[in-house]
Amino acid sequence: MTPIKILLALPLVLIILQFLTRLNDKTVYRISLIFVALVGICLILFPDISNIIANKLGVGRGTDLVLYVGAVIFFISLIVLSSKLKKIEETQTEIIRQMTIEQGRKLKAAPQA
Amino acid sequence: MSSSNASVFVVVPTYNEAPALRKTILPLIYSGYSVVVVDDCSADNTFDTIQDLSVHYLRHPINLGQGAALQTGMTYALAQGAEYLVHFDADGQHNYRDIDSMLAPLTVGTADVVIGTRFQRPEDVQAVPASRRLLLKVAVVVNGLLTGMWLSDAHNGFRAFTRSAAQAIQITENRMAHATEILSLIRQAKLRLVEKPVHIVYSDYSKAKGQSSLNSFHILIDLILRRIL
Repeated sequence: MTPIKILLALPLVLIILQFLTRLNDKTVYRISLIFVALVGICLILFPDISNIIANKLGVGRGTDLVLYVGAVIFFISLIVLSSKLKKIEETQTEIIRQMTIEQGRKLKAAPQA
Repeated sequence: MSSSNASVFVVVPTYNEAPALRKTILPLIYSGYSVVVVDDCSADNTFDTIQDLSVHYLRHPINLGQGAALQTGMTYALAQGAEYLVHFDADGQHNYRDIDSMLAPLTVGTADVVIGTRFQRPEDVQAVPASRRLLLKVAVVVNGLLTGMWLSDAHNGFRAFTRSAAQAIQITENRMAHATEILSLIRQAKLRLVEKPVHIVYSDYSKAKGQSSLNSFHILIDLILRRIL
C-alpha cells in the first residue's frame, strides 16, 4: 500500500459521499464527525500511533498520513457544505418568490397614450 | 389591440436595465400583450421609468439572478391565468414582431415550447458578432451533451410556452445556467420543442450589458456542480 493509493481512492470516496448527501443522512454525518474527533484525541494522547498506522499503510511518516487524510476530509467537508448551501439557497429563493408574487401588482389599468 | 393577445404573458426579467427597459416594453404593451416585469432588485431607477405603464410589476427584495426572475414571472403569470408565456429580454435585443411567429406552432398545437434561434436565416446569423458565433456553437455542443437536446442555437433567451408546458417547468438554476436547465426540463417532461428564427439586435448597449465570454466559463462550472451535488 502506497500513499498514491489514497489519492486514487478519492474519486470512490466522492461517490460514497454523493450517495450520503443525496440521502441527506444526518446520522452518518454526525458519527463521522465524532469519529474524526476521537481519532484526533487518540493522536494527541498517543502521538506514536500515527507513525505505526502510517507504516502499516505504506506512508513514511505519521505527519504525512495526517496531511493526506486531512486533505481528503477537507475536500469532503467542502462538498457537504456546498450541497447544504445549495439547499439553503433553494429555500431562500422559494421564500422570496412567494413574497414577490404576493406583492406583485398591475401598475396602471388604462392603456397609455 | 386584440383581446387574445392579453392572454399572452410576456415575462421580462430586468436587472439595472433602466435605459432600455421602457423602449423594450412599450411595443409589447401597444400590441396588447400582458407584460410582467420582474425587477431582480435593480439598483437604478428602473421603477421610475415604467411606473406610468400598464404592466405587472414584481420586484425581488434581493438579487437572485435571471433564472430565478424568469421562474417568479412564470409562476405569477400562471396565477393570473396566462394561456401562453413568452420570455423576453429587457435590453432590447429581441423584436416584439417575432412573438407572433413564435406563438404560431403553439396555437395550432404542433409544439409545446418554441425557442428562438439566430442560426436559421442568413441575415440573423450575420447580425451575431463572429466571436459570439463561435462561443454559441461551443455552447450548442455542451448543451447537447448535457441535455440530449441538439438545437441550432444556445442561450437564446427568447422562448414561448403553452400554459401546460410552463406548468411542467420549474427553473431551479437561479443564475445563467437556467438556459441549459430549461432544455433538460423540456426533455424530462417530454414536451414538443421547435425552433423559430428570430432576429437579435446586438446594439452597443446590449453588448456592454450582455454576458461576457467569461460568463460561459461560470455557466459550465454551475452545470458541472449541478451534476455532482
